[in-house]
Amino acid sequence: MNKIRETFDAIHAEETLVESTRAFLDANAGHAKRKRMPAPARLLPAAACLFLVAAGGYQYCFAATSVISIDINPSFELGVNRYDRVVFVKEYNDDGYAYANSLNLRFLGYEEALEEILASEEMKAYLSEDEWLTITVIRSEEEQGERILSNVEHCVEGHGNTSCHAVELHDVEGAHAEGLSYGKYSVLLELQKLNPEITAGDIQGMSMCEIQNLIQDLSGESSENCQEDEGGTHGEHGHEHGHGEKRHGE
Amino acid sequence: MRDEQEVNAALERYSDTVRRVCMIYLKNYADTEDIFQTVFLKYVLSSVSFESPEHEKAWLIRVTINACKDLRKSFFFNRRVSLDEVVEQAAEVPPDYTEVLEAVLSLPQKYRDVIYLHYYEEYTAEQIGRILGKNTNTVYTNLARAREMLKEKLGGDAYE
Repeated sequence: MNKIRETFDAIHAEETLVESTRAFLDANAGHAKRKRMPAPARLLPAAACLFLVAAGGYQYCFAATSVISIDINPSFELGVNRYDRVVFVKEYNDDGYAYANSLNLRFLGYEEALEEILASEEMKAYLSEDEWLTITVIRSEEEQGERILSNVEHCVEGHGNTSCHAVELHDVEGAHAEGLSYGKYSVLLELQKLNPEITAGDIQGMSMCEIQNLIQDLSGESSENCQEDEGGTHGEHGHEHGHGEKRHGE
Repeated sequence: MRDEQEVNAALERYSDTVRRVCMIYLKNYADTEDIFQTVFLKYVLSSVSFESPEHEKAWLIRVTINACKDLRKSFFFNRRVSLDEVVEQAAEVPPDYTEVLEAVLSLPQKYRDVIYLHYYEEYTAEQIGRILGKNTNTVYTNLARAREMLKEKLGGDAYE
């Protein structure tokens, strides 16, 4: 233990690394250092929003500027507007439809929506069955996307069997044409690097854990998510939420 | 969003930690630089209020690990490098420690992070589970296997 401690103690961030990061932050986060606006000024966006709605600016307030894709076996997306409110919920499989409709997420702040999802009995049941929850933030506005990812990571802190990622919209824009959520589609792209013959239809009914295990089988690499446990392999057991969907291996 | 003073303080306090986490996940300096910048930009933009320095440190470790995993997912299959190169990127490690570092970095990824978090950061299995999003029992299993592998590679008390 001492040797391991001494070894890591000997590793320090190089001064050049710290300085280049400082310069990067100066160049890229300058806009983030604005002082907090006084309370009346903070109401301006809401007032502006009301004005724009009245003026026919519905699109401005209700257009999603980021999307959060929630995939476990239920697969659905939350559209988040520029004011961090959920403006739509779109489901991509039967489980996702049943699950999303059991919650009332529209117009909640996205953090509150995620807390509600994570606190729901059905989600707890999935996670206790060692399924894997993947939350993917799709960025179209960079600053909001980074902020959402950071807050999502904070939200899931303390919840096992979860992972959070961010992808760029232009990388996954083919998702909906294939009938997949953005999150599941980004995993399909990873799978296709290993086996180009795998199609969206092949993974549509699979849980994220089953997909991780498939990646593991194809790559020969150990999965960092759905690991083998002493009691068996996760994801091979069907559970009660399938609604008759076809599953990998069935 | 955080002001310049907070960010400078975080760079002072946590640069070494972020660097060490990058070292156990990444294979070259350019990737480390990318992740370093990403992590501290997230810190600047984040509105999370930290309850204590320990909470802040755990948040940064978790964000760094997630950023490293994202990067590995993007490039993992076409950017394999040798262990020597991986050890070389951990610049300025005195020769006395190279053997231990090589042994740790040659472990599979799922063992490297638990070794670092447990033996260096002194987190419990439960805390590691929360940081990595893994079951506590899985962390115990990985720690035990990692310890066995280090024992085979190093002998002695490096892993005790």
